[in-house]
Amino acid sequence: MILELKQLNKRFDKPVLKDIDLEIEQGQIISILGKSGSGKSTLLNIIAGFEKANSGSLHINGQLIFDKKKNIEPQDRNIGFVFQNYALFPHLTVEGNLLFGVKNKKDKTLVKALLEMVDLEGYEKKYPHELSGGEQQRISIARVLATDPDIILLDEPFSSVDTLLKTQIEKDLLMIIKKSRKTAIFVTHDPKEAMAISDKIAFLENSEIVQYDTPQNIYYQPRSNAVASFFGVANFIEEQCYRLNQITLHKQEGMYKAQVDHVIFRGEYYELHIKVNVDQKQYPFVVFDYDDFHKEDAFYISLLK
Amino acid sequence: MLNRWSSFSYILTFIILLPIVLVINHALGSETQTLIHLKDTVLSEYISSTLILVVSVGFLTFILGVGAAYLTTFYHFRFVNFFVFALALPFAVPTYIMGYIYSDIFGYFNHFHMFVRSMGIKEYFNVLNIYSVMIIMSLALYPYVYLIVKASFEKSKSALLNPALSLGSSRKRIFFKIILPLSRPAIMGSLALVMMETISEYGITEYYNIKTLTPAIFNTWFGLHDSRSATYLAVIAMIMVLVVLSIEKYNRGKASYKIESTASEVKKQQLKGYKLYMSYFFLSLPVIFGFLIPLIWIAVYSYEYAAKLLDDKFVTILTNSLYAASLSAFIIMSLAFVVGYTSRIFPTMVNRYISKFLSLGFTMPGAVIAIGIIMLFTDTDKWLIEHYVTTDLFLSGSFFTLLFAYIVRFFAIGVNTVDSSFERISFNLNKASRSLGCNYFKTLLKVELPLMKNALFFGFILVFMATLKELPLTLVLRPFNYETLTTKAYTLANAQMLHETAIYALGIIVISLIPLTILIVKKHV
Repeated sequence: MILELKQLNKRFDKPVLKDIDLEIEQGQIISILGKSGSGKSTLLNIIAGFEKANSGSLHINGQLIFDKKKNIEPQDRNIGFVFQNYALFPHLTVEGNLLFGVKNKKDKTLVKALLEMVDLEGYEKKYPHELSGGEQQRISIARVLATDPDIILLDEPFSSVDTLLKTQIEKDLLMIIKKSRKTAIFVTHDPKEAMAISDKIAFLENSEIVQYDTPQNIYYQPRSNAVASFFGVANFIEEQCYRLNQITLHKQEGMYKAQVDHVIFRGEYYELHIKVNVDQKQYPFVVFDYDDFHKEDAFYISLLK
Repeated sequence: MLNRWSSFSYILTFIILLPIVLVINHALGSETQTLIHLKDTVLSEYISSTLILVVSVGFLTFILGVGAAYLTTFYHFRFVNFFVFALALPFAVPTYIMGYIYSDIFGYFNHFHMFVRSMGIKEYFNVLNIYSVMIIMSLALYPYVYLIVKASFEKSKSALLNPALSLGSSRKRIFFKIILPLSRPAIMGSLALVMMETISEYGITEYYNIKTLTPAIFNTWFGLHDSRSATYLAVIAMIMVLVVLSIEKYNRGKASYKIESTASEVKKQQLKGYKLYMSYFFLSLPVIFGFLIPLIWIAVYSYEYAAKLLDDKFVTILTNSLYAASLSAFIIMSLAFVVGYTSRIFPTMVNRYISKFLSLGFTMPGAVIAIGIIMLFTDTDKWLIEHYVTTDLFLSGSFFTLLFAYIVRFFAIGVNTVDSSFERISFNLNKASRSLGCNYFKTLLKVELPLMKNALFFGFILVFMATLKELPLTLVLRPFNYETLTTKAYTLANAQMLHETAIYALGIIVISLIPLTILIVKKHV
């Protein structure tokens, strides 16, 4: 176990984090996911040591980092932090930034190795303002790797990247972290991003972790309606959640009869808002139609489980 | 959370506020005979002449400062760039020096009256009156209003003039309906500075024998040896300042005056015809009377007395001034940097208000601080002697006392430049440095210090200039036989050796002009 949080509580004016328990294995990539204001950035700041929790404990590598009596300062925690706007030191060159936290200020081989790792060879003498957003981000991750931290924390690292570049940068960053075999914790509000990069996702809602599981389990077996709807279209019969790919539409008689309520054209597909009849009850469903079911008065659906 | 950083801030605040608290505390004691006598006789005159000066200087600096800022910002004409620069120059001439110069020029045996008599007019008019003081103080102080309001005009002009013009308003309407109201905080803020300086002014009111509160405080303390009455008067002066400040605060209200700066090029209007000549006349007046004539006077008499006065003693005095000004500027900027950093890393309620408390010294008249510090250090010395730490006066009359007074008086300048500069640096840089292994102190040295060195330098220059021109504190608190350019000029003027002051005035002006030019060129005022 590289990181262990136990019963962590934090309040500002009202509770921001309630009884947080979290365990992370060496080499895992974890996402902390939640709406804005759900306390996810606070959690990251507490792990880094920028904020102090009101109660609870934090162990890293089995060593006590924080509890009621002890509080190790951020500079002594050996945790790397990648900031939303990268926070590169504007008065230092790329090399100066990379070596900022390194004892040996003349370690040219380290700089070279790091730049090679993030695919920015020859950038030593450039200043941050001369780099593009994606390049700045790669330097900021390289700067963190330079100090060989136990854990890397990333606070919404893709939020200031435009959508077109996002997929590429996401891929690059993931490759860099995987190559370095580091444990990483991402904070994000984007469920697609979280599913794409994480081994496990911790979902924060109303200051609590409501589910901590693999992306697949969180997607198909959400613990609450909020979790279910956060990750995409979710249809419910009783308490059971059905994802789009668990539903098939057909014209022959099938499991349940359905009627179209209204239709929204989305380009590649039609979004059908339908009513599904199950045991004399009607359930509202949203399904995607790639054929021409939206014209039908009634059709059937089958559910896979 | 009480840590080393915050404790340092609290202790510093306590020490800096102590003199002011002592003054208020002392003033609350029982009435003395002198005080009863003062109240019966001259107190109302002290208050009324101070008020008359505050209001009239406020009005005149408003006309001069806002008018000059308006013309140079919104109109184009020949020499406009010259005026932009020249209008700031009177800032380098201390008020009392200007006062000495005009009292000499209009003196009975001097240029003006000799000229008048040569024309056959036997009339004599005495320049030593409150109206002259009004005009001279306005000439010396309007650059505050001009510089601050111009900066505000420039900002709102580039952001709002084009959008407003596109909505079909006339330029005149835009100025009165949009730009002037938006600049209200700048106007009120700069006028408050002018009024505070007016209440605090010592050299000229004393020399022209105008019975305002500040000279009265000193005379009661040193002439009548009545500390109670002196502190009583000091508290009245403080109350006046607080009234000025609360008017400014009230005026600001809840409205937001923040402008998103979108720099768009705006075409200036060309001035033509009689309007152009009237503008030249209006803009030349303060430059000629506030800078050119004093400069000529100073140059002429400096030349005349250079051989006699430019000796080792002059060098010592010059060095004293430079040393005191740069040392206090250095100490203030360093302390302000640490205090500002503390409220940045520990943004508690108390820490956020601490800079306001530390700025109080700037709003207090110099006289108040002077007697507060005398009281503080006499008490401390008494205590030290009683406890056999020392046998002699240790702090009173030492250079340290003077330095401490400068720190109390001008700390606000340091705090303001530091705070606004910290705001522009993302706090994530500080966090990044700490997560990379640096503690708060190392981070301060490796991240914030290099990023703020320009701002710290400009703050240093502002404090340096303020200290260099400072008169009453220096006069009262300096060590025995210690002279600076300002005290020497003062002593000579009061010994009726006006022409000999020129060389010292020249020293002050030349030294102030260098940083002032840097500030104007870098547009940092």
